[in-house]
Amino acid sequence: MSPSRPPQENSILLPCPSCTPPYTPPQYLPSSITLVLPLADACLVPYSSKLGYTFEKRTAKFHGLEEDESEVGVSGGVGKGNSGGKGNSGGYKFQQIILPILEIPTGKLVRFKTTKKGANEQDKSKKKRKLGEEGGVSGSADGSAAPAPAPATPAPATPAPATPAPATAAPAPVATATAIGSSVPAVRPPVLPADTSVVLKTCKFGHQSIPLSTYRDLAACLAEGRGGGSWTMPFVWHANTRKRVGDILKYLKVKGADGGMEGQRQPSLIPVWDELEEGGGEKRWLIDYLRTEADLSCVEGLVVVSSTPVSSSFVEVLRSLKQGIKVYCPYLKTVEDALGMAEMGVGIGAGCAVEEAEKGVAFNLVKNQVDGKWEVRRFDLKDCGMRMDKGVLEEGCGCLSCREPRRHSKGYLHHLWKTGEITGKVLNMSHNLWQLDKLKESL
Amino acid sequence: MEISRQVKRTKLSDESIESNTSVIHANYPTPPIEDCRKPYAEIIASKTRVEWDREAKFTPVGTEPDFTSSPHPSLDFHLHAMSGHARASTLFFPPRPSINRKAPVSVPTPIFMPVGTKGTIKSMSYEELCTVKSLSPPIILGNTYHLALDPGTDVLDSFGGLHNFSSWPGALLTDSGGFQMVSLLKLAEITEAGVEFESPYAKDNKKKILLKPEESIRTQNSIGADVMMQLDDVVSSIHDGDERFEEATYRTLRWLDRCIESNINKEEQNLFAIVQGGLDVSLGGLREVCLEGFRRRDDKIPGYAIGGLAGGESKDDFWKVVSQCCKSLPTNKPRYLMGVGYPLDLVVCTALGVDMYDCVYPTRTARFGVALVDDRSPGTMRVKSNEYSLDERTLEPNCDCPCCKLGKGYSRSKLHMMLKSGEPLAAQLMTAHNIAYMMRLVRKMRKAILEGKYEEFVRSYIKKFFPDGYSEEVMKGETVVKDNRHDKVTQEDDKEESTKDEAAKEAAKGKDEQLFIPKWVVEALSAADIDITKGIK
Repeated sequence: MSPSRPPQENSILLPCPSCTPPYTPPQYLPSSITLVLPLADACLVPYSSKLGYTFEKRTAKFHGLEEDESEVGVSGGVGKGNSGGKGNSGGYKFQQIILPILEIPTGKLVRFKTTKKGANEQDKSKKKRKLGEEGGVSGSADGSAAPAPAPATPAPATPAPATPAPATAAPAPVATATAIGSSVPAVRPPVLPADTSVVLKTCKFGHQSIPLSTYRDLAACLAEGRGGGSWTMPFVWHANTRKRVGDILKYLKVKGADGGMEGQRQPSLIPVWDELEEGGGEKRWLIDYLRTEADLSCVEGLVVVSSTPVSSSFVEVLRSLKQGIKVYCPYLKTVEDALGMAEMGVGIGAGCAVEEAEKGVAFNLVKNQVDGKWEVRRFDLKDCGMRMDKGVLEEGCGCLSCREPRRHSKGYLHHLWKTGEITGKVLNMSHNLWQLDKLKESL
Repeated sequence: MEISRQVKRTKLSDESIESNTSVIHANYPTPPIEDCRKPYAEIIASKTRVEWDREAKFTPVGTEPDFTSSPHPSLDFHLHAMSGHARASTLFFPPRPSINRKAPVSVPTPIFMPVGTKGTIKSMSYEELCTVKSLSPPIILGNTYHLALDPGTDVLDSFGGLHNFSSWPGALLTDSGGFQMVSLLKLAEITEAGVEFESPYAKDNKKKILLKPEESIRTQNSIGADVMMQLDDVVSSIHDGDERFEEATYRTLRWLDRCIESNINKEEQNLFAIVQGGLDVSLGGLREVCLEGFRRRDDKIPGYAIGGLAGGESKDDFWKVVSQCCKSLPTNKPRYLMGVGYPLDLVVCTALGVDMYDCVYPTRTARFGVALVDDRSPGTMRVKSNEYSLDERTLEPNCDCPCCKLGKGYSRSKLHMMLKSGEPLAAQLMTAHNIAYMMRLVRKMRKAILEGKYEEFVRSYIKKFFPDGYSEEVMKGETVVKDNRHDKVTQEDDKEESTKDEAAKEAAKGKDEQLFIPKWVVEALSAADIDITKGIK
């Protein structure tokens, strides 16, 4: 079966990691470092907006879970996509259920935009549906207030007869998708397209989008055999409901049990959330789930999605899940936090280097000779006192700013910051990354 | 009070400045226009073109510079070949111990100079700019006005110039700040003493800064650029007052004398003169007067610039001024066309005999998401357009910039996404691509000239640029061809915000418009003895 609908004219279907032929990252840099953002973004947006897919439906179908099935039943106009068709609730679902908030490279949270108009339509369609239903049972899977899932309605309540979707190579319970008001069967690709599982190839520094030159620096690190690796990780969703976390993990499980779908790669990193909900109930639940149900056989590491440091006990809990599992904490905001986590043996990302550079802070990491501990020395480049400073940030540092023969002075970096040049941030970021690199080497 | 302090933004605290400037203005009375005309009466009345030193002396490529025999110790100019009027030459700047330069720096022409207004090319690191072979421009620009405000002359003096401050190993050229007369006209008042600016920075509380020619040169001495520009009285080329143009022309000559006088580093820094005179190319007109003034001072001037253009005048006027100046200016000195940087303009003006160009267009338009490309008829690609959201190709398959990497680099769709989300990485990559494009263009032009095949080069370039070829109707003026490749780009970087919708404007313009060779291109090339209509339908 062809994957849903043909792409729009004059557009090329974006190759995705799980499609054949497999996606190959550009070769100009070592293959072990590739941007994650463009891939993630490029996959999601075109699929959802251009080809009429909505992201959530695909996951729902794929999971083949009960509640998801019913959702598919309701929103069955999958064939139409979210192109604004009457009564099509695709857009609604996209907005209400998915509303993905992605961690994008610069560490900002980006919310996918859905138009207000779409939202109104969805509300209307929701009302209509309610009116039209006879015994429609509404009720979300869990009663949590925040973006709750669409009212789950049994499939038979839809006006049109349910058309079973062909069950080609799909996980068993997927075959009940329907289309509202049309006889066009809901055609869904059975294989989850790559946009739910981003092949993330990155070095240990994490997967921030950092300027080219900085990448080149990282490439140099990798060439010297100092770490680096390639992992697959599902989207880092900002999940604040138990259900959503469950979805992702179940999805992992299905894949694990299935031995991987055609062309799919096994995820080797999975996200865990430290701040799911106040009170920590969700966290406990997540850990329990990972301990008891989730298939961690092919999982190499856990990525803590948190901008603040996590407690050592939490790290211990994560480590106890599987022998030799790695824990990463790439989204920290300050270098001190990162240092603290690194001392616990947790992998840190480039997040703090980028975040600090955005604030105009360059830092040096210095090892105290007496007790062997790392100390942070900060330079605030906004400080006018640096105006005349001819010294480099750190002698012997190999970053774009300090290395021979450039040796950019602090005075110059201050000038760049003051005049708001992007170059300033590039140099600053490069320096911070090189400092983190020292850390990696020593730990 | 020392006037040099007035340029420093941070030191502008004394109320005495105001009273001081009024004294200064009194010291520089504007001479009556009749007195100005007197020395040039002969030229104004005569009907012959001002010309001097038209005999070309060629040296082979690779000749070592000899600064002792050069008329100016700070520059050795070697003309290698001419193809028609197009010239291939090399500028050599001497070693300078003060900035740790041990060997001479050579600048092959024709050359495009990327603009680094405030001491850096926006979004590029110098490390990358120097080490990546496809970029590596031998000379870049800085702006005196902006550098005087930030970091200020005291910092530059303390560091020993901009070369040391920004660790730029190549050559540097600084604009005098004269262009800010046009771009910041609302804030500027021009008198005989100099230009009085209102500080564009709100926090300075509208303090006035007087930029005198002496001041401009002193600042440029602090910056230490290899080529300095005189402070000229720039009038916007679309200004419609002949008197103002005339006043500006004579003032430019007077200011040149003051600039030459105040240059304290003649051994290392060249001072280029700038031809002004509006769009008056008639015999005995203002441009002629200006050229005659320069002819009389020729021994003090190592190179010439053509100024007052690229300010919104029509292309018909533009090429005529360039052509006239190139016909008059001496053959054995470099010629620099200020503020021009569209690829097509470069090709045409090189045919007319220009050597050096600068413009913010390639770098600025890159940051707005427009890539310069060869293999696509409009010559530009708006990567932000939805057209490219799913395009997996690189910008250009044969470009070896850090962005395209000969077709293995960043795809258009990735750039599209990054530009949409405002990633600095996208700005960096696009800038790198556009600089690489311009450097490739000038290198190709030089190669063609050295081989004596510039005419063929122009032909093939124009053919690619205008796929619909040549139309009689366009020449008769019955159909006006809109050159929709470029929006007007002001030279001023600090007005960047207001031009952010550049890409949007370009999008609004019609796509299906036929692209015939514009009339001005045909005429300008025929003035350069290239009949472009031959062989093109």
